[in-house]
Amino acid sequence: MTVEIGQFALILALTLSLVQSILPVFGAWRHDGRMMAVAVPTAFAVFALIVLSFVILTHAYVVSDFSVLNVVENSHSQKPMLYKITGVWGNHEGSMLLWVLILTFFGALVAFFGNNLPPALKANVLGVHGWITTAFLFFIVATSNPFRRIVPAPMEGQDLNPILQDIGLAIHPPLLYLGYVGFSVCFSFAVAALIEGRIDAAWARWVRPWTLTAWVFLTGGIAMGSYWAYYELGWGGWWFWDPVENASFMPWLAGTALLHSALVMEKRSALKIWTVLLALLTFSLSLLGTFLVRSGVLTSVHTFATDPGRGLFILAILTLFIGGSLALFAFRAQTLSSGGLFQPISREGALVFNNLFLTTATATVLIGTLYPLLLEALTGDKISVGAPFFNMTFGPLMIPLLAAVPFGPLLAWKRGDLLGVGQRLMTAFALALLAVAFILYRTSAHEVLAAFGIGLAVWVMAGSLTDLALKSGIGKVSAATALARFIGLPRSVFGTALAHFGLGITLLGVVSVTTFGTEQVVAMKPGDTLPVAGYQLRYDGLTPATGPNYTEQQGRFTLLDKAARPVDTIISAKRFYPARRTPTTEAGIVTHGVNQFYISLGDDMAGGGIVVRIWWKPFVTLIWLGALAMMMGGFVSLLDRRLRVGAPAKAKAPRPVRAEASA
Amino acid sequence: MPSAVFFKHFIFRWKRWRDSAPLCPAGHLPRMGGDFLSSVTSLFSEPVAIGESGNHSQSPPLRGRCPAGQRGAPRDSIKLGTVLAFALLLAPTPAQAVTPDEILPDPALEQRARALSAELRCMVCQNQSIDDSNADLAKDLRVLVRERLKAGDSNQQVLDFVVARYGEFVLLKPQFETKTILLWGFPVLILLIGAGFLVVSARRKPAAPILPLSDEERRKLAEIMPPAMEDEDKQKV
Repeated sequence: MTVEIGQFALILALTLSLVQSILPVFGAWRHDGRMMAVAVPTAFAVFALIVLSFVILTHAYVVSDFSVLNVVENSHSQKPMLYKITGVWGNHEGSMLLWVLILTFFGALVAFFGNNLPPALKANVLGVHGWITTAFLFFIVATSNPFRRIVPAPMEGQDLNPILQDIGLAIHPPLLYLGYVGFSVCFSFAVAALIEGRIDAAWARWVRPWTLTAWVFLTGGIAMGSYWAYYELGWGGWWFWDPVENASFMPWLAGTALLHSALVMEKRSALKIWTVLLALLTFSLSLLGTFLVRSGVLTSVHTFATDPGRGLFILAILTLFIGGSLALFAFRAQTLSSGGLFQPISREGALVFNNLFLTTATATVLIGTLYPLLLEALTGDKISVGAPFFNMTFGPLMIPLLAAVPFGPLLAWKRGDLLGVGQRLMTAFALALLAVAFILYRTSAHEVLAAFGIGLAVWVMAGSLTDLALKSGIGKVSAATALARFIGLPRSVFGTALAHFGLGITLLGVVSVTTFGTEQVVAMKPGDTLPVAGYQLRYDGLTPATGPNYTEQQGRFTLLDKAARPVDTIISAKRFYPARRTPTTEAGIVTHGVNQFYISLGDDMAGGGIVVRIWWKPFVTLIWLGALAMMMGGFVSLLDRRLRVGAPAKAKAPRPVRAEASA
Repeated sequence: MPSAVFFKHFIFRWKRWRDSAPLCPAGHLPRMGGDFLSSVTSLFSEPVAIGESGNHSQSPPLRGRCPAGQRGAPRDSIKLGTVLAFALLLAPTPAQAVTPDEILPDPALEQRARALSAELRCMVCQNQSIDDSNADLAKDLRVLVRERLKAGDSNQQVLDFVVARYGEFVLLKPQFETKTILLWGFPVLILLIGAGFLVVSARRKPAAPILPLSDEERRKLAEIMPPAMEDEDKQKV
């Protein structure tokens, strides 16, 4: 019975979101306040209904209701409770429901916080948001109903794919969707601005925090997914340039560009048209990602369904929204006035430079991901585009961008002094050179590329610290004043510095692990030892063990230091899940500082040993710690005074003065 | 609806490809166009019937993980038997991504082999290099690469040899030629178009010259803004 309530809630939500799609937009057009006022309550109601159906689906999973097809296909009564719950979105129908849940959540947020928006803009934004909700709810109800019953109900479910039974899966999809779908708000704002044909100050003030929120979550989602792949797939890689990874990476790149161009628009009301286009493109890439992953065009662990009907449906949604929004842009973009002028060498100029390279990088990833599909569809020729292509094209594009990062925040708005900024960055530059020299010395000049990579990372990190030091006047004023100034710095300055610093950290991790990581593939028998990164690794043998819904063979290893004292025990396992007859490997990972030992078990050898793969991964955790720092940076920036709720009243007073000064 | 037609055509091609991807027993190196097996479909298609058996594979293979078997996972004995029976080139161990017996004694040669392996695609996998894959075919290719290197081939000769046998699909980094010109040229094109657009738009509307404040403005500014505030304003910029 409850399951049917869930389905009715879905259908009711679809109907209501149709109302949300039509009335407010019509009202805004006819200047009818009552029709516009429909937007807010419907946005709340649709969200509440989706929450209800999501809770009901989760309940069906929790109590293992095997009369529901979706639960049968993806759950098992013996599965741990955590994975029963995460299994809700570990399949096509459930993950689409999560998608819509988050979409309507953002709609409700806009409705909740939108009191200070002009009524017509708010009505249009929520209306456009309603279009997206309607399209995806229709998709779920028509092709991917999670509440389908099955008669007769089987005794037992088929369990969730074992590699998805992991804490990483509990966090990765919701985070990723919060990012992906968060850009829908920017999209709605952009389309609303195009409908109205103007962009006012409220628009500019609103778009950046939403972009930032979505970006923070997307960064977290991608980092989490990368770490999950790293430890769960058992082969030590953290990024594969897999089409599915690219599908999430493209909105991130475009979203990063949007974040920076929105900054220019907010502060200087320049780049308006470009920002609107970028907002459209970013969410379009999110939709494209959803299509690539959900349609079955690409096959991967994320593709739960390879049903052409569903693929066609999402393609139709994709065409409608991307085509429609770009057409609207083409017709209406001229009506948007362009704003403040600036010299090429200025903060704005630096942000344009950032946008140029990030957009090119996005385009590179896009063409690399789609080219094999398009070429085959058009000519029948089959080619592969893999990691070597992306490393060769994406890498060089990042170098000028990263080299420019420290300059950006130090340049003045409107007209900057490149030479002056260069002088102020001398310390950072000296540190970077020192790092290059150090690495060259330590590797006897063998690793030139790595030395420059690490130098670049140090440059980015030191540059962001320089920014903080200069803005708080360290060295110029007394320590007490500097401290007071440091504390008094706007949060967004900290946010920028932290995010840029995080970028440097990630780069340092990437270069280090790629260059200095070691891999050994050996056959080991119990008692054998092997030197790894200054330690001795001893293999102690295999022991069987049983988990809640699997059996496993645990390989035990002891890490010995130079004096042959045991430092750590590493357990790496081979698991077998009987419900799906699926074997998996559980890598044994031990973290020392920011470095990791990574052990993966292979097959038994004929002579009684076992194949063992041992990686030494220096600085590897920095890759994800850097992403964490970027997230923190975004978060701190969100707390900036000018973005806090209630701030507008204060901000109103100075604005006319500033506008005069900058005009 | 032309896009629908396009999509159907596309799905069709895709299905044809996935059904016809060469999957061959170990030790048997197929030539282009030959040796196609269609029984891999079950690994990809969505299960419709419920309760037939507990072991149908519901999810497609992992990102990059190969349908021919789970990395590092124990294989069933029949497969092992097949490998043992047919693996003429190989030492009698189950196939796995780079196993100890494959490694060449010469470290320099082995390093080249690893680098080359990373550029060659495992034909039966999704986006996985033969260096990462544990499919039998990938192992054959790895051994083949090492054989060619031992015979004194240059890196390019090895790649040419493999491409001659398996077609261009095997290269993870496509060659630069007519049909990939857009692929390789696109990033450069976007960068040039973007930069060109910026230069043109910067020339078209040169930024207004920034004039220093007039005495009148200075006086007004001094009235509005006490010196301390001016200082504060500077550091916030």
